Amino acid sequence: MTAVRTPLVKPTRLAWPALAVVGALVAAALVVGALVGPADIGVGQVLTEILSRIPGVGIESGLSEIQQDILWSWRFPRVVLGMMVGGTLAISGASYQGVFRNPLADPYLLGIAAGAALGATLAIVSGLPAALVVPAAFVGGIGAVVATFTLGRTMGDRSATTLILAGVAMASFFTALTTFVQQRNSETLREVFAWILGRLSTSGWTEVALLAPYAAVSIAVMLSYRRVLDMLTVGDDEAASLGVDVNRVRTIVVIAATAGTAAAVAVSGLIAFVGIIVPHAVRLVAGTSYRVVLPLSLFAGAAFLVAADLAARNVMAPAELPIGVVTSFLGAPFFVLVLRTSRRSL
Amino acid sequence: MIGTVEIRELTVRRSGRPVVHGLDLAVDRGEWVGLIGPNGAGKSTVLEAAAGLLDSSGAVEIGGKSMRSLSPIERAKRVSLVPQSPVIPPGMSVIDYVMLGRNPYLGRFGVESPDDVLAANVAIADLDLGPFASKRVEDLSGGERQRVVIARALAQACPVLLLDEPTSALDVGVRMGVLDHIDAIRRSCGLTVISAVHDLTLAAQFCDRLVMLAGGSIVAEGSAEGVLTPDTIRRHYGARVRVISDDDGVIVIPIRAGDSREDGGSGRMASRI
Repeated sequence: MTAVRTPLVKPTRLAWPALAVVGALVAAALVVGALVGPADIGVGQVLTEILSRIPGVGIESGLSEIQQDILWSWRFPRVVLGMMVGGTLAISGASYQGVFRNPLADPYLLGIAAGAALGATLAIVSGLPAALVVPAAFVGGIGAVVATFTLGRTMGDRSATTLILAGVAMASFFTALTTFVQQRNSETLREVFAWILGRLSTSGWTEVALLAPYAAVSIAVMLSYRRVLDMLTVGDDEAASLGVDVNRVRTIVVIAATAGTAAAVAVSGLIAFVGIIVPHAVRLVAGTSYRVVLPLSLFAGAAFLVAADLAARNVMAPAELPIGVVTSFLGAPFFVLVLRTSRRSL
Repeated sequence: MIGTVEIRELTVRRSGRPVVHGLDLAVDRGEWVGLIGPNGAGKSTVLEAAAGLLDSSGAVEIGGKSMRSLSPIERAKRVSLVPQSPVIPPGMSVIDYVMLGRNPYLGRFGVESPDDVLAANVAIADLDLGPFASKRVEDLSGGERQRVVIARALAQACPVLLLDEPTSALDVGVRMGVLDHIDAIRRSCGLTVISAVHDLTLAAQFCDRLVMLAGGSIVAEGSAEGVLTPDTIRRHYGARVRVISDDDGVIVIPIRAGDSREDGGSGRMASRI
């Protein structure tokens, strides 16, 4: 047998250039997202306004109070919310694909969307204040996933396939309930559908503050398991023989991804396909290791959703498209492409 | 001793049916035991149970410690397994795949130390995989992939190595090289090896002791000369063979049913039929 080759071959790690590229995309999305709108504010003004808010910098942007209000109360919260929702949905999708070893998996698979839609629908038709729609959607999304896990366990095993089948069953059940409630309350259909189709319009920083703690914790947990997700690619038995507590890892990652997604869905409505489009685009460029896919998906997802929101705001201006429609327009053909290229692994 | 394996009253059920029942097996540190037997005899099941991957009754102890009492990480530090049909993850490079074997030794945040990287590179070099280290595993030939899987198990650096048909895809030269390498590690480090083998000649050449399984139970156990008799093989495999025992060891030659050239064992060579 031969001697060890020097220098030693190193395992895959996240390369700084790749991180710099997605970081630049996020920065560009932030600036462009803040620039676009009916009020004319220049790129220089946006940048100096951001710098002026940093303690100790001591420069003035020259923006009027109204322009500052537009930036800080409308555009920035919307862009930041878009980044948080996009990043959370993308990294959650990548994590689900890892734990279920299914390239088309995302958190919606276990019924989050259907549960959140039911929660929001019930809140709206009950005439609850708009501020309670978000927690209602969150509770609905989490409740659906808990129901899916409970159903999966009653089927006798904890395999990924069983869980996915239970998710399909629960999603159908929750969707049927939602449809029933909508039919009985047709006067609120417009409001319900406005929520279901997804939007990033905000009432300032409230939604950002609501989402931030969930997003921060769930993203931190998912990132800390990115190497273990690589272990799961060899299958449950082999991963177990390599020292992975497969059920524990699967449960923790699913809980983290679910909590993050449920919080994102609660504030933004149902924005489909981000969790599939972004991780797969990252894989095409940067390889399949979850060490790379997860952090890059986080940043790329943030930039992607801000770009999608820009499209939603401008394609039919002054009317605004639901952002969920934009992501679905992009996502549906992409989904088919992924399906065609990954049939073997399904 | 850390490399000993003791299996007592092992029973494994699949779909309610026992596929291994009441099996007892003790393996010393540094011993190479070959599990042989016809398809469905329970060889792979015994290996998976020994690795702690199956729900079973009875006891499996590695180095005097019950596998049930150990965490997955502790189990993976004691036993490495080369499965019969390993899953090859799409897009994963050879170095990343072999590094999976270092998982039990990584810290909470999973950062590899220089020692881990070196161990993976040594395993890759030992199996003549150096030129492929950066290539994707899925792009290699069947034999190369099999060596990559063995390299992962060696990088795991356990005192007990379980091999489930480890060299079935290798040509005879590479096969002997890989098994010789495992044997050299066994002799120098006291590695304990339990392997499921279909090739009876290979089993006889490398194993200190053979354990023949049939229907989930041990039906014969001992040296190659004692276990590999034409009668035993005919009874449990339903095959006619000629067994030659000479200075090169025990060689089992299958004989086609109805072959008129077969003389029932009275050939000039030292056959024992």
